[in-house]
Amino acid sequence: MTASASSPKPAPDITHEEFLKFKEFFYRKTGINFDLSKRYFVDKRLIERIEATGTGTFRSYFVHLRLQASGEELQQLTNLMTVNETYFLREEYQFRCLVDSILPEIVSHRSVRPSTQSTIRIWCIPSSSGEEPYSVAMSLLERWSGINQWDVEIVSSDIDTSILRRARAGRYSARSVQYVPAPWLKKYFSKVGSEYQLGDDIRDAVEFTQVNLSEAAQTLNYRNFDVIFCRNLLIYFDDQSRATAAETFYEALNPGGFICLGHSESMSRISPLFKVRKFPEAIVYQKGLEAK
Amino acid sequence: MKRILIVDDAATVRMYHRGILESAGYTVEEAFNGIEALEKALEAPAPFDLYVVDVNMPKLDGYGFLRELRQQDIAQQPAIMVSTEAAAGDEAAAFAAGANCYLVKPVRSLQLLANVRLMLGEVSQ
Amino acid sequence: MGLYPLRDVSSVACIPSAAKAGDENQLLTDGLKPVPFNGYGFWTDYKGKSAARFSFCREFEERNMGLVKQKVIHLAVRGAPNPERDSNELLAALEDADAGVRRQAAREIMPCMGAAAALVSRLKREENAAVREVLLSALVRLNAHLNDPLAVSGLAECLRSEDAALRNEVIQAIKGMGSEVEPILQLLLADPDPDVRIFAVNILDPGRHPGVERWLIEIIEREAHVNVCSAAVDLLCEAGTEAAVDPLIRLKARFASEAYIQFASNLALKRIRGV
Repeated sequence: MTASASSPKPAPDITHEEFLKFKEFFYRKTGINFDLSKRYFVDKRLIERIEATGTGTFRSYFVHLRLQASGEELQQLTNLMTVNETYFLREEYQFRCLVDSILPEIVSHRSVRPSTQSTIRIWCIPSSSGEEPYSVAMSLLERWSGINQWDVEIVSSDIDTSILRRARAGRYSARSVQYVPAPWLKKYFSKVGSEYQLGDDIRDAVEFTQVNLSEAAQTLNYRNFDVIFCRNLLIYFDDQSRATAAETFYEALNPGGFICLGHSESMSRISPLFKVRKFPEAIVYQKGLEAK
Repeated sequence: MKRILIVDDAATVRMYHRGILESAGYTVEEAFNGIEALEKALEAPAPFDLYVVDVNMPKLDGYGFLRELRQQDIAQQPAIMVSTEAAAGDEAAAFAAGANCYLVKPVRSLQLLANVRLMLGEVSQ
Repeated sequence: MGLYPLRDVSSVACIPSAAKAGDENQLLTDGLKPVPFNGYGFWTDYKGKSAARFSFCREFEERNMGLVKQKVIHLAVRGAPNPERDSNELLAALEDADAGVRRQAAREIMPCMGAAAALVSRLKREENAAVREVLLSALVRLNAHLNDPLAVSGLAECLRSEDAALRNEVIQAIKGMGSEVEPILQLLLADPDPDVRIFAVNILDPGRHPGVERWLIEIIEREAHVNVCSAAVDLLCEAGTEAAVDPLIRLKARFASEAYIQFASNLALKRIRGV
């Protein structure tokens, strides 16, 4: 650092009590609990936001954080505090849950109470650049025996049209596919330079649509889904948008349908509409079978 | 070591009960409301030995949590419900929902501990 | 080939959702005219009809190793809505025997005369938890646009309900509203029933109502009931400032034998001082 006329301001200090105060607030809002071992991780990011907002001290920043009507700062901060990278088979245990627990249960209901709908429908929102819906597609083809008896439709949505274009294009970096098992990589991708191009078969298997989840009018037609993946989105929403989204998902699901959230998310901070279900692989949420 | 789940949306109350119970040698975990409590109860590798449950919580309250808990296919354990309401009708509702004990706030530490020991079948010293 | 994203198509049609491929022939005889679109199918132009609740779904199935790709043309249909009539229909639908219809009506209801009163009226009688949830969030949503004192006062009445689940839900809903709830909260904080006063404190959200600390201080200075004071001290742990320090010290003296008050006040003091 070059010398300057005035000495640089010291980074704001966060006391133990202040950390505890912040920890309780953040846990209440998001369900994410930072224990004391995360001091460094949390302090660093708080200081970053204190400096970015120009609030100067933790105390002023905390007031700003709590009282800001738009909730943007909380969203920013939550973004910083959570890991946001997307890649194929992220939170893989949920794809295993889909194939080993969720779909078998859905299929068993269909046999007992045949529905007018013979296709199993899955909704992945947000699509982001497509890794998630394509992971669903590959998991179904490679690991679900039921794929030979049941038709599955995958719809994936995002608010951002440019990311939808990227998702449809199906071109990925090596980093994005690093957890894809080698046989799948060989079967479904072709290497283009340093990148990987997903083949037409899988790309054609997903229907991408543009949707703003916070606008109830845009989602009226999203119905009769059996499974919804909504991972690492609602945690960034404010309370009212979360409630709207939860209602949308409730309407979108068939009775007995399931919804999976991100690993650090919980319906406890979102909505009581769904029942908590524990499968060997994961905790997921279910719309009542007797519900409409 | 017996494990107790404290369910309350107020951080201060959770901390207070934790202090009392940890001093008496119990291991304590916390949940913010009935939904988180259900998740913790279902995820726990071994079931909790006891629940201390507040009534008024957002999204899923104490009664709702106990009703759901009692329907789950896990080992059922005693639950102490803690409430501000002293009316007789509320106590009946608590037992109907699946509570085994009903305490009215403010809960004194000796009162809490005596009831915890009773629920856990531990001989009072 | 390619996909087209869901678009806001304003001049488009409303065809009953039960329409199947082939139904367009019937619709043609009803006087609707086809308009070609990208060669994938067509929808008919049927302006003027209230379209919010209809959609047309034309499906093309492509079988591909068991994964069915359905080119679904969802139409976010917007006709030329008639707000008054729509509202009346929606308000009536709130009383429908079918829970799904009631939920849908509550989701769609827009700010209009009588909306809040109708929602509250339904809420008091609604036994279906999912419908209650949607009624409540509709009230919060409406309140943001339409400062209807009936909404808030109607909700406040629910706080006296025998139904604990309803009371709790209402607390959360009122909490989600803005500063317009302050007059009601003032009343509730002075209610003769200590439990109602506790609910009122639970509704206070320091994040939403910046003036909250003043009220909390007033409570711990004047309130006789220990549990109401406890609820107020809880909030001061997060929202308290220097102004609360002396009142907290006085509270401790007032409830010297109450262990929880001592604990919570000490914690609040630590948090306020930051050490």
